[in-house]
Amino acid sequence: MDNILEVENLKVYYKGVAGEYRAVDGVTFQVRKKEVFGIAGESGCGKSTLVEGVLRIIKPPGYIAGGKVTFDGIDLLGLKGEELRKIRWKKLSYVPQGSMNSLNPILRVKDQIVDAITTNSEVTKKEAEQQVPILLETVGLAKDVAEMYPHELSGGMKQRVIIAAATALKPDLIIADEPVTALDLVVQRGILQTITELRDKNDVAILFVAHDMAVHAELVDRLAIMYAGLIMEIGPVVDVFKKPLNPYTKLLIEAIPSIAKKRIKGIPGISPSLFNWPAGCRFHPRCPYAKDVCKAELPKLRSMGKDRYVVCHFAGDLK
Amino acid sequence: MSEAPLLQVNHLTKVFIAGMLSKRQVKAVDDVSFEVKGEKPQITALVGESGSGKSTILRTILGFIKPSSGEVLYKGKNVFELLKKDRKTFRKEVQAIFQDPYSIYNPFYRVDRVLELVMKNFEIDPGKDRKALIEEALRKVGIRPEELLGRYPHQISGGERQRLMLARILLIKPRLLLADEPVSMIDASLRAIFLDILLDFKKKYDISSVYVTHDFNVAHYVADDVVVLCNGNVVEKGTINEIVSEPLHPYTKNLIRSIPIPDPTKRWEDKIELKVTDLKSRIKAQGCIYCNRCLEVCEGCADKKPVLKKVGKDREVACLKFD
Repeated sequence: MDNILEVENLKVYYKGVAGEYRAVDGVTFQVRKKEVFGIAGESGCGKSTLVEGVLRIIKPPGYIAGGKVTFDGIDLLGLKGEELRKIRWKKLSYVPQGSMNSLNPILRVKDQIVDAITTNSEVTKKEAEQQVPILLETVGLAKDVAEMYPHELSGGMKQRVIIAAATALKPDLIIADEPVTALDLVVQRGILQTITELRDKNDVAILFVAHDMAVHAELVDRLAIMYAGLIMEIGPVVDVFKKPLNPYTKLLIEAIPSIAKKRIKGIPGISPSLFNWPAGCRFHPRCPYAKDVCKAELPKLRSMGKDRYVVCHFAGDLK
Repeated sequence: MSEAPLLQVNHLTKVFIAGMLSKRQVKAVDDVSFEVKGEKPQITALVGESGSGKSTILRTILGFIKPSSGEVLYKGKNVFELLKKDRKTFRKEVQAIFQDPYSIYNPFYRVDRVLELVMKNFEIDPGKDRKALIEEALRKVGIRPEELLGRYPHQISGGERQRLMLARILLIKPRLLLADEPVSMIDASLRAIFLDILLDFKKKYDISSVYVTHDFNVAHYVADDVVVLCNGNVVEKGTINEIVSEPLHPYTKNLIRSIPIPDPTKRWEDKIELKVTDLKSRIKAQGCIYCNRCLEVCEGCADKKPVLKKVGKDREVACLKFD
């Protein structure tokens, strides 16, 4: 089997006083073995909720309203307590948003990594301790970092420690939610380099969530664009950037400021709110190509050429 | 008559005292000088990593923080003197816009109040119809007044809040606008719209800006000149095009080559060398502030602090290699 993760029509909703808020509203995609799969989208589009749904860590009032998540042939949504724990960290690990703040301030880096290894596997404490310097080295940290406390490290170094811990048990898939946001440019580049190396050396697949399109352009193999709780387009990253099929993707790419080009333009209108998604295609109020059918009917995800999927009534007609 | 420059920052230094007992001194800004000439409207970007002192400089210009030494002159006059003597005029001519579009509104009042208050307080066009002026300003920043007026802050999006701030600026029409990372919290699709309005301010209303950002991509889009900051020091100054196409200081070079380019066919091919800095070694006070991270570090760097040297028209760099 080529896919490590298969997400099928996943729905993650939040229960509210006025009804259900459909944060993730039927999302389908696959992550292949050994690839970096990117999910891009603006704030509030449901990226983080999607990840929490896939990992089964969504907290009330959030809940999984439907769909199927298959990880390495196992139905993730059907697993309970202990069975789920056995997979987490060992086969599927997670680097949460702002994770540099998730280190314990009163424990040395070494102890935290050892802790993660021994709790989730049969490895003894002694063996785990021997692994720590090697793990730190793979993320570009000196071995004396092991003896340090989190407050002695910079944000970028803490982020690397988290990535080192996440890779400790050689998982098949790492899900990273905005791992480089809020880091300085040079550090960001270092982390992206680390992620690429991990993928090449460890044969791990990475599901990489970020709002920054430029970061996706540098890192990922395939890219999915999310908007208003739905995936608008999936494809190999070069194709998505060079020949976007969905108008939102096209406009989003044109809106990225870059030192490589002088003119950019924004997308008029505002992102819809999950309290009230627009009827029909969710992008139609802001779409310059919208026609009557777009207002009435939500287009389905359909295949268009090799490896490419798009949600749009007029995909491919873009000029 | 040669007028005094619009804004002059002269040898500005700000030392914060940290710690309760140890009284550790942190030099957030260290002898920073730059000016905004203002003969014709221009946008000057202050670019640097987090902790480089960008925001501290901006806050000192606004008079929120007293400098430890050095001065800020607005049209040749000291900002603190101006704030004492002629506060209203200074506040009217020098306006600011901040990063967080959420924390500036009072949640109990409708958003209209922000605009009405400035008109009242700054006595803008007292004879005219305030409502009409407000509506006009809103339209100019791409907001439909009927959709926004009468609402409460929690009912509008971050992008709208930030644009409302721009409408406010437009009503006041200051000479100088100080912007502290105004787009970092708004969505990518709306950033361009916001930045275009800022450029409009320059072109149509002669408003100059000092724009603080960590993002060279944004600086490249809006700015004419750049001041590159590292650990509170100016390491390089020049026009944006010169600096982006040919950075001279090793710090600027490293920043520029770390900018992700939104084009998957032009990926980074080389690898950057990350210097794992020995955290225990402190930089000597008399040495270069960048020497422990510098990839081109030479022998004398740890002992001699470089000063800004003119290396071209409007171009200055602080590195021993150019000394």
